[in-house]
Amino acid sequence: MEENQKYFPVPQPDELTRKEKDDAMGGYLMMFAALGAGLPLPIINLIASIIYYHMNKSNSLFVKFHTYQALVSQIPLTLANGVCVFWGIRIAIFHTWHVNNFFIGFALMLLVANILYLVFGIISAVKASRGRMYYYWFFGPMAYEKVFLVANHVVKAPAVNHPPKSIS
Amino acid sequence: MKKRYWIDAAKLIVVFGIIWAAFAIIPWPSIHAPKGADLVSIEREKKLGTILMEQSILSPDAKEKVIHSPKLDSAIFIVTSRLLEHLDHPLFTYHFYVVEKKDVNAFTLPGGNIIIYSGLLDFCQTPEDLAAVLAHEIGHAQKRHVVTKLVNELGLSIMLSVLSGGNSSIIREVMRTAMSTSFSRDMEAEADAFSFSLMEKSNLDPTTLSDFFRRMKKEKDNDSNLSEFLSTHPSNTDRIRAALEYKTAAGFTIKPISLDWSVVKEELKKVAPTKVEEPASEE
Ligand SMILES: [Zn+2]
Repeated sequence: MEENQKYFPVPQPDELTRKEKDDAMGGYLMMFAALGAGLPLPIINLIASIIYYHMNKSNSLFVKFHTYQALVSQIPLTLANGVCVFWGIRIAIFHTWHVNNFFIGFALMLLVANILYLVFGIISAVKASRGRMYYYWFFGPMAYEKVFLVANHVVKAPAVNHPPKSIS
Repeated sequence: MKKRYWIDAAKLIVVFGIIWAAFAIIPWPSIHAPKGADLVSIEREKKLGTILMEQSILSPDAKEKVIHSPKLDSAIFIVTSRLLEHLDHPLFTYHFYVVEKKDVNAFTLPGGNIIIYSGLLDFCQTPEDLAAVLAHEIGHAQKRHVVTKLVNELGLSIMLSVLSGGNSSIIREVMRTAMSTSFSRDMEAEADAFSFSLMEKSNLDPTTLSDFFRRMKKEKDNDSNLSEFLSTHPSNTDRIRAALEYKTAAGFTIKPISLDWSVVKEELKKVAPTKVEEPASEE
């Protein structure tokens, strides 16, 4: 049980190469680059992030942490944006649904969420490029646990060698 | 202990839920207060209606004449008084005018003035058909759709210039806009909903409007007089379905309007002989 609670040490800025810092920053910049392309269908930025995360899977823990945080933090927002687009299309094309306060409130809430996300994305890109850790609410600790928890890295092969049965 | 960050997730959801609710509570003006209804008071709409009626259909040199027939008038009175008796908080004193024109259509002009074309009376097969359509038109008036549409289409200054006398070309333009441009889909849906509930309150079958629309859809290909109504009242399947899905309250009973509709049909042949023959096949 003790083993499960152990975490790898968090890297300090002088232990990181320039490339690692840039790769970590890339995780956040990826989502801005894909945000424009993904606007009509807000799924493209998510796909880009998933690809980027898998490209950097074997990179250092610092890079993994930042790319993972960038990836998971945009899942709920992407889903919510998708709901908003779907909702808007229903209103604009099929006329069976109508613009109501729930929709306006939802769209404005998403506007706030997207702006906040953009701001935090820029902050974390700058932090990552300086070799700093930066934890989002909820997503930060989650990404830390996923990447730095020792137990998540040790793949225990099932035991095939046993002591002689007559001894045990 | 290590799952403490799930509490942060809950906080995030709560915070954004509150933001959503806060934005949703704000009474967004474009939805809840249509511009025209805000800018033109009931009193002004009444005056506008009087001026428009006097200078168009009721004027001596009007192209489209109001039919004065005691038999038609009493039929219209029987149908409309059933509806008006059950109308809560009427905004206007409603007036109904039958105009000789073979198009199947009815219009609501400002101030509760409702124009019924003789073609519509001819297309209706029962007094309830007429009641359903007129309940829809009363809905446009009660919901202030008429002034809202006119202000949106023509601007407030044109409306005010009519109120201060106006000239005949402006009045023609206002009449043309009132009669030929359509309401928004939301307004139509609102007027339909109004019709269903007014019909129910008047002990008439709310689904009558759907039967009426279905018959229109079926006959639109062999009756050119329907095209105008359908262009200003898109009778899509959504509207038909909305009528069929309307749920009446428990204990609702239908009391037919006691009016011999064949009298209306006979009278129409006399006073509005320009009507085209009805399609031969009837289901
Ligand atoms: Zn209508």
